[in-house]
Amino acid sequence: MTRDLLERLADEMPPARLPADVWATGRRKRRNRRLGYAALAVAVLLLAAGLPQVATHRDASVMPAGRQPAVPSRVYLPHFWQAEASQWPAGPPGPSGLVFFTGQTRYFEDTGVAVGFDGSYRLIYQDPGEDEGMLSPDGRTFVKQGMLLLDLASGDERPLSGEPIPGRPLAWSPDGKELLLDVSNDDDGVQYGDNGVPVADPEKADDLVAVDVTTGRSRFVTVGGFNSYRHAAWSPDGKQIIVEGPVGRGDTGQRMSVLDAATGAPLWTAELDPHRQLAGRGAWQPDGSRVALLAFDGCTGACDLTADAARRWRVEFLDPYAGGPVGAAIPLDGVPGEVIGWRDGSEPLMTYAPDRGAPRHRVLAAVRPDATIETVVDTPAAVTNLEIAADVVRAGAFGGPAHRPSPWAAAGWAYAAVAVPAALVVLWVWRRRAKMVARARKATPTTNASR
Amino acid sequence: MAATEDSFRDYVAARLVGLSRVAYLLTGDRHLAEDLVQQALIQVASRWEKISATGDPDPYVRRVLYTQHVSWWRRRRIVDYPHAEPPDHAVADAAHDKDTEITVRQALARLTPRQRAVLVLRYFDDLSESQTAAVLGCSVGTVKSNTRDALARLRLVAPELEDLRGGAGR
Repeated sequence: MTRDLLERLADEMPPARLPADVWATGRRKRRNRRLGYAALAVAVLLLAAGLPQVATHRDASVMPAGRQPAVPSRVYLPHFWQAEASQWPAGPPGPSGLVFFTGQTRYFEDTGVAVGFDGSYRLIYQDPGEDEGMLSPDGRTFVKQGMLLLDLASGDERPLSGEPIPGRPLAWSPDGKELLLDVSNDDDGVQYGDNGVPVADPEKADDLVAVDVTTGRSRFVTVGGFNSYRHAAWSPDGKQIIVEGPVGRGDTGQRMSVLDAATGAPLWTAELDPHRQLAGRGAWQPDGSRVALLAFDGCTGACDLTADAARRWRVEFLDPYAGGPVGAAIPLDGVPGEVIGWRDGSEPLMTYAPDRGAPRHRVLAAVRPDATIETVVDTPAAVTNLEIAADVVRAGAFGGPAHRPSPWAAAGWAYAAVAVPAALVVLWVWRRRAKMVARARKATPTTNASR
Repeated sequence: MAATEDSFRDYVAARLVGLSRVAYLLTGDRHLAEDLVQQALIQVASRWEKISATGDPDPYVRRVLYTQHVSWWRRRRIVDYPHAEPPDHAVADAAHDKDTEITVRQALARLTPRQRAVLVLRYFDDLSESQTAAVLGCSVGTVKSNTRDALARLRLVAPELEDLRGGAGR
């Protein structure tokens, strides 16, 4: 009976009238479908093969064959959409002579920006509050907080050692094989001194540890000498290390010591007055004769911003073997960051804030004996620090062409953010057109047969 | 190419009436049924070599018809699809019980496209549950549950169609 009812209902329907060109329309649909598949295949192929090429496009500098490539004379802020060091399709930046740090990226926090020798810019993400990290002498590796080694040539990341090391990188050995660390033995809780500044517990002094970056094997250089190791510099031949750091309860004193890099045996140790500090990891002059110190007149300890800005700084020099001062100090108008090496073997190269009123903006500057400051790498105002590969410093490879970051070196999501809406618009236009064609076709006369 | 086209035209000539009737049962509207048949045959023409190579184009054609109908329903195209001009020829009123027909048509209109499709395939095209499942691209269990739900809904909205109960057992 159900069938009878359905049959009776179906009897109401006459044979459908068909357009004369059903077959032709079907074949056209077939052609369009095949063309669509072919176009899609070509688009996917082009995308897969071409996008990395486009994304790695840059105003490439000519890489000098057989000699150290130079870092640019100026860097620029990255684009909002700039790719990270390991992000597809742009890929890693390659060996980089320079990493600078700025809060003006899409993360709105301090972010590293690696500038490859070929002019590529890539971001190195840091969690808020992380230390900035350190570039290896050859510019291939960047040490991130947590002792993670980021390979700038491949974009891969690996831990420095099999076991987590609660340490902070101080300096690479001159040959780039070892990384010197300040390894904390403190409890997890933060200890505060009388002035409210966090201190290392003197009863749990830090260790000075050198880690082989290839094998991850670590060796203790010295233990128990300092509350912590604030600055350290290797001698140019890699046989000694000069260290400086706080001592005494509440970090009330500070000490400097030259140690044998292999045994940790001290060559000499001296108390250091609070107006002086080791100038940084590149403080040891290449001929081995002097070590740079940064000294200042003014407020020590916990100072407010005004007192900080009122400090007058100078570079002093120390005989690393006798421990006494040597040569004349060089006064500085601005605020020094850290000596990272020497230009022409005699002029300290330092990260430097030229304006004492804006101590967060740093450039790379050479300090001449006559106190003239020469900017070697200029930076935008939002750049707060720089890292320069030691091989670049040793070779004096500065003054390279200053390329702007390529807008095409974008993160994959940036391409998707542009491509998806564009594809949707194309799809919408195509469907709209197809509907119009279908309606136009419906308006044409029809017949009751397919032929 | 000409032979391929001829075989398609032969198939359309032979099956147009049947396809039109199925389309009408699915849509409940002559104009929509006509459009549905046209669209389905265009789709079939675009893949005719592959379809005809199977030796029996009917399963594929049915499937196109049903999926096209469900697709229209999903896109609400049925609502805004422009009707062509009124039919230019009269249709014989073969129903001796017009009231029943109207009731059936209205009851069918209350079903989902999938439920209508199951009823038409099972009770009009006389397909088995597994054949119906193959056409609709679903499991036999889904066919059974759709059939049960469709008949239950028909009994609910049109209790006067007592004879449908007998259909459930077929």
